[in-house]
Amino acid sequence: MKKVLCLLLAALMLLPTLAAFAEGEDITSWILEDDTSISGEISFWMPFKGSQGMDALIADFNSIYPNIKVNLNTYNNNSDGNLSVNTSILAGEVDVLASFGLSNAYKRWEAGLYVDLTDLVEEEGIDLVANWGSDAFKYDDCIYTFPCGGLSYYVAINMNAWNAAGLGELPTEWTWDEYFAASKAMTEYNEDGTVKVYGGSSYHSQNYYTYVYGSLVGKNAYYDEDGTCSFDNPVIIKALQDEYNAEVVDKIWFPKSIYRGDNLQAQQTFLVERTCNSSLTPNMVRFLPDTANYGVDFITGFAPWPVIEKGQTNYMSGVAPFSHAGICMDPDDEDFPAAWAFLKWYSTYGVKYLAAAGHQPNWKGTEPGSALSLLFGTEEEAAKFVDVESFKRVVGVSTNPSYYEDELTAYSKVNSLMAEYTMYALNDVMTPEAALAELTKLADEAIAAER
Amino acid sequence: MARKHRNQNQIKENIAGYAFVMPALVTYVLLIAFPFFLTLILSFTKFNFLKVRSLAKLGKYISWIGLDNFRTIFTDRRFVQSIGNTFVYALTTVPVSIVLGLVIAYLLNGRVFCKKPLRLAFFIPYISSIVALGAVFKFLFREDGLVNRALMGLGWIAEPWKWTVEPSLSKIPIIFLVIWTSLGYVMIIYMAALQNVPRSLYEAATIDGASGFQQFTRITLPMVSPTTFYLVIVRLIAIFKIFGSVNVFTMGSSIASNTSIVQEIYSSAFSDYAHGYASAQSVVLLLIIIFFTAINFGGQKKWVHY
Amino acid sequence: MKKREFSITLVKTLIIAVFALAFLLPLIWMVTSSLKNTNEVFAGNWQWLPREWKWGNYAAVWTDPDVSMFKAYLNTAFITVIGTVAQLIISSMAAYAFAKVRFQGKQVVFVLFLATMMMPTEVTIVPRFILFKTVGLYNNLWAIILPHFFNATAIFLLRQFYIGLPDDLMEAAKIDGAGHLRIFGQILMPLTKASLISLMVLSFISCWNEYMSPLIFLIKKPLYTISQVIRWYMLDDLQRYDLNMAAATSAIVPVVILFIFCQRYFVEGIATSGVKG
Repeated sequence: MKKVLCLLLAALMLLPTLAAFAEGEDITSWILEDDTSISGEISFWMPFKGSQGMDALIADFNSIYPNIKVNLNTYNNNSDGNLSVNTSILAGEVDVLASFGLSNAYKRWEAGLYVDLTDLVEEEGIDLVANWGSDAFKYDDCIYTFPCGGLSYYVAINMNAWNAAGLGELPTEWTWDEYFAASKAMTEYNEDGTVKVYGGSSYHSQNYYTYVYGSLVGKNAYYDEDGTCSFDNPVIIKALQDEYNAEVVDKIWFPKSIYRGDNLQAQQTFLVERTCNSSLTPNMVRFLPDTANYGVDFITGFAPWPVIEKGQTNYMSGVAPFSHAGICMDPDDEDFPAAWAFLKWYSTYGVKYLAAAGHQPNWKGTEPGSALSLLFGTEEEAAKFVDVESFKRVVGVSTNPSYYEDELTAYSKVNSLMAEYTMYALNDVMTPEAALAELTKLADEAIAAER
Repeated sequence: MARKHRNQNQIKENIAGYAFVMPALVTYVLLIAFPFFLTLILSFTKFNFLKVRSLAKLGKYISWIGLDNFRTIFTDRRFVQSIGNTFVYALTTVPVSIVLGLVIAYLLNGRVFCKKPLRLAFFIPYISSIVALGAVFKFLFREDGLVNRALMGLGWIAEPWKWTVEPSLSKIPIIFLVIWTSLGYVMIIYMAALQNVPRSLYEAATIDGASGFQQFTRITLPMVSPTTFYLVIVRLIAIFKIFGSVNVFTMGSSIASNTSIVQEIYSSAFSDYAHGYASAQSVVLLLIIIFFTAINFGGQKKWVHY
Repeated sequence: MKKREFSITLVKTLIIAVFALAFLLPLIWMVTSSLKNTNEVFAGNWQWLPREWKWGNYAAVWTDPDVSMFKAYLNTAFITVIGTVAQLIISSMAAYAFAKVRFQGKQVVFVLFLATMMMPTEVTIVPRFILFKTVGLYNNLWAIILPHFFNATAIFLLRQFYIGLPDDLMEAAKIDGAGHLRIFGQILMPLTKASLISLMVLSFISCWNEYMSPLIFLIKKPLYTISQVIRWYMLDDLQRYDLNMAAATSAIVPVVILFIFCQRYFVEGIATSGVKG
């Protein structure tokens, strides 16, 4: 009965979406429950606020499931915030949770903080690859979460600076050398020769140079094929050397040591303090419509993630999985069916609302092009903030090749070692080569210890 | 009859005694003794409490690994460094705050104007929230903060120093913060001690023609040596368990050069969720504190005059 | 001669005053920054006083719907008052028993209590986390309050004081038929008022400024203490240093005012703790 109903419903509601699939495969049959009048109350923990698309998401959900009350709980996606989430899970206060970043999700799979969904997935015939493009996100062969939200990586550019430097059209493909040259051209100096505005900037997280390698190989920037770490790879060594040159030697990029030391974030240097004219970023678009906190008087343009050489497949140009949603509520709880219904709806139809906060939906059934309207309302409104054409070309193009991670051995440990040694290199305490050599040694030890 | 009466009396006294001690004893057993033994036990296990879904099956989640945690500790680069860092904090802040505190107490103890407002100035940092003061210091030592501006204005440095992320500098803001916050305490304790030094000693010394400096070294220093001893112990223990002032500065910086023992215990326990390992680290901290307190007590005969 | 003494005093005062000013500079700077607007905090041509006094920063910090300083004050005050009062009563009772009641096993219990003076509470954070989580005190102000109930130093200091009270006082009351409860509550405890005030000050400082326990045990924003509100501003995405400094000032100024009015008790209280090693 359930299957029939679902098929009928899906066929009626989703004919246009279905048409988009070459095989005509129905990936939506499992999403809605037979009985959308089921009731319950669940708490949904997520780093985005109600005003960042989540209120709209819940309202949309309630138009289908009117009797399920969803209480949004916004947490900070830093180590404090994540600890508070984990302890709240133990206290039974979290029902559905969106984890941001594989490292946080991984710790929760490992600690058993998410409910094992493997049986439910099999029972309802949910095809992970057809829905989200990957079935790699498992721990001990168990499925705990759906990889339903992603990030799109790009360069955000202050168009005033770009035009003032006479750089012409925004590129549709460019190399790192070209981006560094543009950064140099956009760097503005004070009268005494010190830097007034840096031409470019990395994102404030330490790991962005590893994505240079990621864009080449398409997955697991921290690991080589043989399972050892990748920090001794020439591409990574050159990438860190390039970042070091840009930040420490040539001073054309905003220094990461200041981002880390002063707790600054990339959107602040770009939008508020105007200390850099362009920036690598996964989420800059989120801040643009927030005129109260980040009001700006320039248009932001977008260029794709740079490549090592032209013609290379750019795996950073698509949408990379970033958020992982699952259930933390005890399956014996009477509200569990409501939580399951919400999780299924959220990780499919619901994820388009992530675009309102600058993240990108990962579900294959999502209609393309909703990001611009969710962020700005209309295209005319968007044109006040962004270069619409380059936005559409670069931000959140899920059809482009995308990067992902599925190698997780000692991931947290390797990640924190990477953060530490990257800082030694960018603070000029060790040369990039020496830092990476020591990092390789320690990371390989950590990986070996876990095996 | 008399004996029975005495027994009855003793029973009454026992009941009264334990009734009066009971609230303290219950708290002690539940919140001090029990957690202490649990720390010892957990230090021999691999355990993540966040995995425990039902306490009835607790055993399933604990694996006994003998001394493995302690072996790991001595090869744990970050933890070993945190012990070293903590010693650096102890060796710098304890002597400086004690010497400065004594000097200021000595000056304030004599005749000065506005004694109370001046005393207040030194005291405010001690009674204030460490996070509030840490926030101020982190702000002062920013790349474009007041300290860099002042040093550059004076021409002492050419470009801003990265106090919070440069490993060779990163302990300095914390050392200043700790001295700043602990000096008021040291000063008050010394002021109380100085009041107890008999005036007659100074008068006799003045008659013998001893200079002010001689009086300070020959009379004041020996007379306050028990207080100095007390302060060394109290300040050492305070530094060994330093957390707040370090935590404020390690937020987000990723480097290992300014972290402290308790900061590492905190991050093992509440960011790696390695509760067995964190317990082992706690045991090491306790051993360090006991060891140094014992050394101090052993060495006090040489320089403390009661 | 008089004149010479005067100038020595003046020179000493000046030396200390310079030190004191250096001590206060960061705090003065904190207060002035809390009254600037965000851009001015980092303005290139930097100056001490705000160009435009933004008292609104305080309004923002105190009435933030998410993490309000007002709520944090209530929480912190609750922790401080209950923690301090309970600690004084419980410690007094134990101290009285150790000093004036001849019960069996007294020495053993006392030595056990004293032994904890060396063990910092940081050593037991993991078990305490497990314990509070298990009994449902996690995310509960009582998780911060309860550990203050037992304080070995307070018991030790009060015991010294009770031992110093002459037994004659007790004997007289006993002949009148008074039990321990009356002797303790009506005769002896009132005599320890001065020590109690000193201990109250110490307990106040430690409760009010506590950082690590709230960080671990109070993770819901409505339960935040003052320390956590400041931390929240430090970690906030927007990095509003003006608000951060307003929060820091809000935490410090009331304690300073209290200190000015009760300076004698504060100083005596701190000094008591260090009378003798």
